[in-house]
Amino acid sequence: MENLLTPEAIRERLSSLREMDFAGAEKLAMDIAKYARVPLWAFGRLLQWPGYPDRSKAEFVLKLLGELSILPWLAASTKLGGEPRIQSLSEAFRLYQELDRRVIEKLRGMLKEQTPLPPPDVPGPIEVPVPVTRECDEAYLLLRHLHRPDEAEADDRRNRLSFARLGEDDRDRFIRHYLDTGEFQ
Amino acid sequence: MTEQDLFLRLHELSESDADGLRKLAEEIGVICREPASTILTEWVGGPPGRQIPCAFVCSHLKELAVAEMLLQTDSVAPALRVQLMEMVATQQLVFRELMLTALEPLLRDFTPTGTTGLTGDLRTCDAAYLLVRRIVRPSASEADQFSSEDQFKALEEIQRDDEINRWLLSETWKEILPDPA
Repeated sequence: MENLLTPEAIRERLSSLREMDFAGAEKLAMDIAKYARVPLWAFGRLLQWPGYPDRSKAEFVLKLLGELSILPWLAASTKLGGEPRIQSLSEAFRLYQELDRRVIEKLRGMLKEQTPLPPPDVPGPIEVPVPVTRECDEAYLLLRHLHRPDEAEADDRRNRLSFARLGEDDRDRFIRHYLDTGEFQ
Repeated sequence: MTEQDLFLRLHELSESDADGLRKLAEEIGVICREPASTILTEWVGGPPGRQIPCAFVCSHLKELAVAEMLLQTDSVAPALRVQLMEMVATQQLVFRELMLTALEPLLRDFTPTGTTGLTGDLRTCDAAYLLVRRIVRPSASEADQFSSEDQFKALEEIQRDDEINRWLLSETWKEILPDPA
């Protein structure tokens, strides 16, 4: 498959999109993904054969691809049984955990940043103004969401709003508590 | 790069040719990540009217855009950094859900894995359960019903079955993957 979506071609496609042309944007994303995922799906297929002669080389390459390898390992696991299936899932988990570590490290770094964020651009009049939050507040909320991913959406929304409505000192106290204990109040 | 190209390249490289394998990984990395990098560059540096389509395309590229979004966070304005991290976190939770979905049926698979715990062979369900427990922490009200990894490995088979059954019926698990029945 020849890659017709070079960086120049992507820029050209983007420049021809109108701002709200979501169908066009979705088509561009699909065209990009179709080509970009070819090697990943090929690895996914290859890993389904535990006795494939070049398997160890494939595993070496996949280790270097980091989070891109999660889906090939997961895809392969569905076709395997017994120990090879568990090994595939363990490898997917290892890569997931590695990505998790990077994401959390980045978000923890953002907890130091106090810059206020511009309020969301809502057209027309609004009844209740959206509270202004800082970068550190949003990072804290994201960390909390990752820490409690199974919380009901309504509870998460309610928590976000009540946190955002707190004064800066109170929000700082919550953030400090997390930094000191690794726990969320 | 087609599937055949990839298989051929892998076949031609010797197992001891680490540099060759690294080069192949780099090429694949470019194929997978370069488009997202191009989109992000346009998002950050392009005209304002391009921001919405770029954000939309990036969110649809999912795992292909994660590494590039993480990279870009160092050099963008705070509001965009937050937006990128929200997209990264969303994808991370998608990975989590996919893993749990893949592990769920294995919690009832009693096939031996060939690996050994303290009290005998670990079965697929035991290994899957240990992975699930690394991904999901039980709710505070249920935490005391479940053992740690080492404790679980030391249990007799019948006790491990009990614990897995308890897990499958727990509110923690049912909130994540409700029983379709």
